[in-house]
Amino acid sequence: MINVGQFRSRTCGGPTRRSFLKLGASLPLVMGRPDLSVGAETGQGPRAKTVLLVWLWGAPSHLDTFDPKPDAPSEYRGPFSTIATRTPGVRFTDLLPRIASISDRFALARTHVSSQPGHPDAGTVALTGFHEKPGPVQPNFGAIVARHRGRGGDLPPFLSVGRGVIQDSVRIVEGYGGGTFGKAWDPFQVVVKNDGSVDLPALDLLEGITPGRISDRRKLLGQLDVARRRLEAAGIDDWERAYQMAYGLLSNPSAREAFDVTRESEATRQRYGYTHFGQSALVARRLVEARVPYVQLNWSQTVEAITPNFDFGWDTHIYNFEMLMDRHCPLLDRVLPELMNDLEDRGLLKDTLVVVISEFGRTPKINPRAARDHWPQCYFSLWSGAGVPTGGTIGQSDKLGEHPLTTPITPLMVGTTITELAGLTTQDRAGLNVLSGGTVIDELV
Amino acid sequence: MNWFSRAGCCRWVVVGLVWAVAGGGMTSAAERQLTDDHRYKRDPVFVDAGTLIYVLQARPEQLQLVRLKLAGGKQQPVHKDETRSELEPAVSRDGRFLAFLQSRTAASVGMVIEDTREQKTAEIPPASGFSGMRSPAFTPDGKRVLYVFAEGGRQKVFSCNIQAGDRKVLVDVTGICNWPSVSADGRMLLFGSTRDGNYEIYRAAAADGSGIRRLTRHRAQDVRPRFSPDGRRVVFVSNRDGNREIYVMDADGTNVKRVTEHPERDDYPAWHPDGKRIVYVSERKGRFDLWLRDLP
Repeated sequence: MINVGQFRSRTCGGPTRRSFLKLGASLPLVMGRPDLSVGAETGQGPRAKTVLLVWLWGAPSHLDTFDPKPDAPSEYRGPFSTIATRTPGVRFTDLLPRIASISDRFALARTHVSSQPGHPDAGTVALTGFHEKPGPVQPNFGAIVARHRGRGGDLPPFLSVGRGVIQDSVRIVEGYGGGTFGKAWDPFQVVVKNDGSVDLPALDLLEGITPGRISDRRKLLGQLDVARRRLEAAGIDDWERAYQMAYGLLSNPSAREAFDVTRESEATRQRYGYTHFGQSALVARRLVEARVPYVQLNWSQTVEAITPNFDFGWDTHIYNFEMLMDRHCPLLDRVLPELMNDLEDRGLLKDTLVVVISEFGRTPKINPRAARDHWPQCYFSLWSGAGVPTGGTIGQSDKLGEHPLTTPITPLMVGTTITELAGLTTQDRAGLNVLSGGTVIDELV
Repeated sequence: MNWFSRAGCCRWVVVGLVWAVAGGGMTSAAERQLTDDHRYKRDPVFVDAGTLIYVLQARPEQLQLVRLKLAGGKQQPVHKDETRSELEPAVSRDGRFLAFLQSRTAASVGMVIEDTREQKTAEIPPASGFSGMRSPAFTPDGKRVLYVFAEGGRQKVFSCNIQAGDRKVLVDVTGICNWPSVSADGRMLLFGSTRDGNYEIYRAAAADGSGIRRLTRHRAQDVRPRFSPDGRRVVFVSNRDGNREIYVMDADGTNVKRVTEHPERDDYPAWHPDGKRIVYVSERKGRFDLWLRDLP
């Protein structure tokens, strides 16, 4: 079932009582158009027609997952055993047996570094390549790909799947969206529930409009006028684009189908699991299949694992080992292999780049609370699809997992590599005035 | 969907009637499904032979204590107006006291001991900053609560009285201890620990934590041990056969038997008061539900 704005698209029912989402940072946007002035792709297509970034918000422990240190002293290594993977010489903790069984499908980078120790700042750096301050905030990698690629159908070119704009307890991550490109290039938010029902809250701006009413031009114009005033009141001046995108989704059933996991077989839905992350991943796969240029799949909206009104991100300052064992790793170990296998089975992985990453890692040394804190000096990522070499590791961390032994990988390198694989040349990036000074991760390009 | 609305309650009554007509909801000679909402859940524990409390992910942001009546399947929140996460409930043998964890602020979790008869609560508040207790468990006489708390990088077993006072360290070893459980005669303490590297199960004297003896020895994780009501057996969880399954063994660590065998996860076992059955959470086809089954 899809809740498009205020109605359910499958039934085309009339409007229900639903308050508008607050417009502003969470306001969706917008249909992009090919930006021909900045070097649209020429000749053969990009290696990555679609980028799927799996965002593990809150920052998982690298030692307790993909970079275990079984020979480290007990105050570092943690309680988990290690298991062999499909990659010779590479071991994960025994929390991830299914991911270990498909390690030949991805490259594992273990030498990431960030310059920021706090979530929002590090989140912006990780998703844009640059600090929030002094500003202006740079565009998210997804906004860059979206603007370069433009719109190829009725679906927005940059979608964020999860539960809303990512944030911590204080504020949102400023680098979630369009940055210097403007809100027109923010991601279109897709909210997925554990039963697979989908909300497209952005379309609340068209409250009162249903697919049925679209055929009634006089009524439609009246409703759109109301929606326009709402946008203008909220300071959104790109009404034309917002309207076109929303109208496109409302008027084109095939576009809406991309969000509808009820069109999947029950067996497929079960394999992903009836959790928010599981069904979100399934929606993300459908968006990849629909060839949306950039999809960011968010583990959660908020960072903390055990805080009132937080939805259990990876920020495990307490209960690190218990939360990883009880909840986070079993969930990731179910969903991620299913997602990769599904993409592979459908022939999508060859030209879809999948990147699994977070804003930083966690302290190799166990903290006084028998958990782990923030650690921007060393963390991991996984890369799969789009022809990247898989079944190996990129770089090596030291014996305690505290620092890279080999060349550190910065967020700027991550963004440069993603955009390069998505078809942007150095000249394209320069033309967009983004990712200045960035270099690619040589092993991946 | 609000499972605690009038319609939701009616639904559970219907589920119960179906069980009664169809032979108690048995899917096999030994197994009975207790819930069918499929949402994430954990930590079931029996209050009495006909009632249990478990933890349900009621909202994406909240873990909620839920009381389930086996007869009829009626469910309701234990604290219906609570908006904070509550988890890891423990119930005294007479059912009078309920201990559980309650989230407070950012990564800050307190332990509450509730006298359900007198409607009073005592609590151990979290320490300053990020802090939290874990795994409360009552002694058989209901006079003390065991729990674990980390300080100095070691997660230790503590005990306190029913007013949350007189706090004492029972077990302080290298690594992380968790899941304390006391035998029916009050003499033996069971717990999990990483003192030898990975999670294994140990027992010690309940009075002072002395005489620690290792009961399991495996590269996999052996976790969540619980004494049977008569103290003769131990149920625990292990991934020794590839995924999380439930096992039982004698209280001395011998005679290990596998109880569950599913391609997905079986976890959070708790003894029925009759000592012949366990309730547990089983993930099947991507859904989470409570199951009750006989033990071998």
